[in-house]
Amino acid sequence: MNLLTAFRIALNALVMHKGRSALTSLGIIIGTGAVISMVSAAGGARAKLDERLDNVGKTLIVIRAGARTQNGTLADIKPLTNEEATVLRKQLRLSTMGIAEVQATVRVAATRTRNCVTMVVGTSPDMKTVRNWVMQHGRFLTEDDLKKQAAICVIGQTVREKLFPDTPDPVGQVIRIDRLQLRVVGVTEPKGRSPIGGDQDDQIFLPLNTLQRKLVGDEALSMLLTSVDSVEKLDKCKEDITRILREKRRGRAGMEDFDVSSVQEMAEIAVVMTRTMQFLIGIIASISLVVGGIGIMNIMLVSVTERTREIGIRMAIGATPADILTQFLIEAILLSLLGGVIGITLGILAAVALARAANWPIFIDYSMVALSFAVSGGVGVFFGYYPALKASRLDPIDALRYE
Amino acid sequence: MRVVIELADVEKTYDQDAEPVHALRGVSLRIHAGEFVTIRGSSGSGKSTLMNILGCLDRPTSGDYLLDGENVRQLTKTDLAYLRNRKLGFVFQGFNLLKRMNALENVEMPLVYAGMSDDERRERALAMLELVDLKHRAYHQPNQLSGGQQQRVAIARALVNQPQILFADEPTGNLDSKTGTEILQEFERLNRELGQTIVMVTHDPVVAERAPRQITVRDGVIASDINSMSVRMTACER
Repeated sequence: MNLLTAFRIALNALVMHKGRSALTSLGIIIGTGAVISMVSAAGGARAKLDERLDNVGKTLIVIRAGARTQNGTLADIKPLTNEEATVLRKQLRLSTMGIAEVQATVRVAATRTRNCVTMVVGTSPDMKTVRNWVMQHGRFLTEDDLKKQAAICVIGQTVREKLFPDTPDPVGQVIRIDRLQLRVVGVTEPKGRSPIGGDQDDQIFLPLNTLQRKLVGDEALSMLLTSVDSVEKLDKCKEDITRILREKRRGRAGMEDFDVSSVQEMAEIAVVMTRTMQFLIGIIASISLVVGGIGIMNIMLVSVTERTREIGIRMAIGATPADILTQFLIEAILLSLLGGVIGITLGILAAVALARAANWPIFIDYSMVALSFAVSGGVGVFFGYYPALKASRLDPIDALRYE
Repeated sequence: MRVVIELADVEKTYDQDAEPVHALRGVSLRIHAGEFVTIRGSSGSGKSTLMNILGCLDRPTSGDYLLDGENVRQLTKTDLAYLRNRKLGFVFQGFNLLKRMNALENVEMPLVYAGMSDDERRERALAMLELVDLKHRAYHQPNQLSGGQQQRVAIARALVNQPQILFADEPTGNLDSKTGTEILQEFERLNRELGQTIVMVTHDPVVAERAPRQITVRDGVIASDINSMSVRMTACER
């Protein structure tokens, strides 16, 4: 018997029991569907995260006050000072892109007609090079602004949209924050969201000492930012920062009350998390494929029993044991592949829907699609073999006599 | 005449619950091409066992069975399947057509296992249905056919691979006497016109006696072997 005929016979048998075939495939449908949609979701989320990490810059180093305890939280915070920032800037002038102080506070910024809540950040001119800000209009902060405690500010794109929706170039306009009148000297190009999800363009930069003296009234840096010009230099730079700060603070090695971390590390954590997720998905998928496979085996055993007489007739007129084995095996594989194809289709649809809803790029891993297809076929072979073998070993005389 | 079946001292023993059952205790017989033989016997006589062995559905425990010169005893299940497919045809008491397949597809089935192409298969199956006068019912399902028609489809199926021997196991058992007679006439016609060798198992003496040669099985041995044409046959052999 040729394979095509065997295929046709098997297909007929499945079509005869449409409902049963569909239900039997359900396990495989769920398994492959889950794999495709979850892998796509993980891939999409990962791509989105990568994009945001790139927005921030992978060579960015964040220095924060506070010791890192064993469970990873920051405690016992002794804030970073302007003096520490100055020391770091002096010593790392050549190896970094600069040291940017960040003292942030959430305020209402207002023009005569509009207002919005935004992040107000006191910083130094180094911010421009460290974060690679590009100016759309005007200029960034200068050393001179800092010396004079100038009442000026640089606004992000989101802030411009909120406060000056009709003015593409608001340089020269005035923004009021509390009782402080600030003249806009520059607008930055949009940067998009950070890995944590914050809008990096929803910020107002003003000279650090303007913020400290005229707005907040104290000196408590949220963090220091610095960056290097290549990923290879990250570790060396982090070591240097740690050493300098430790000496300055007279701390002991391993007991630092500050934290130096790079965006690269966050990216690595993200990779580990993605891997973990993929591993878990793999387990879920394996379980449901095994369950689906058992379902197929079960229904095939029922089918073999139901069709004992048919098997007897086929054997009497010349079907070899191999013919019978092939017939039932193909039936099981078809059931399983049917589930695989439906599952893959549903999985892709779910992935697209999910990507739309979560606003991340649609990511479909075609190697995973191929793998799912192959695995579902494999499940059919594995779980269909025993029932098919049982059918092929029937004795024609007994099978013919079976009622 | 050519010998198509030769049994030499065939025994069949079933091991049931450690108590061996001797279904056949040494059967020897020869059947020539073109013969119409009936095998008679009451239930438990061993006639079904004999039929199963002759039909290559079962193998003898001891003794030799030469089918068309080939010894069946050493053959594997697969070899037996090939023999059934290419040299034998079966007609059963319960028709044994496959439901949900039309008459034509049922008749085609032995050719499917013989690996014949679709077109050739269809052509030969249609020719067979014509032979049993059922071409107009080719696309009917078995449950749309009468008992006699179903049995004729079964005959067409048994003949489609041009078997050396046609085996029939109580072919009239499920039919009323009128239809049964028609089916018997069909067999007689096939034997007469096509020279088809036929071996038919029956418990009905009336049916059995229509055949030229009647073998009676009792307690696992051949009790009698009456051949109304034996004189002529013997003459031929000489």
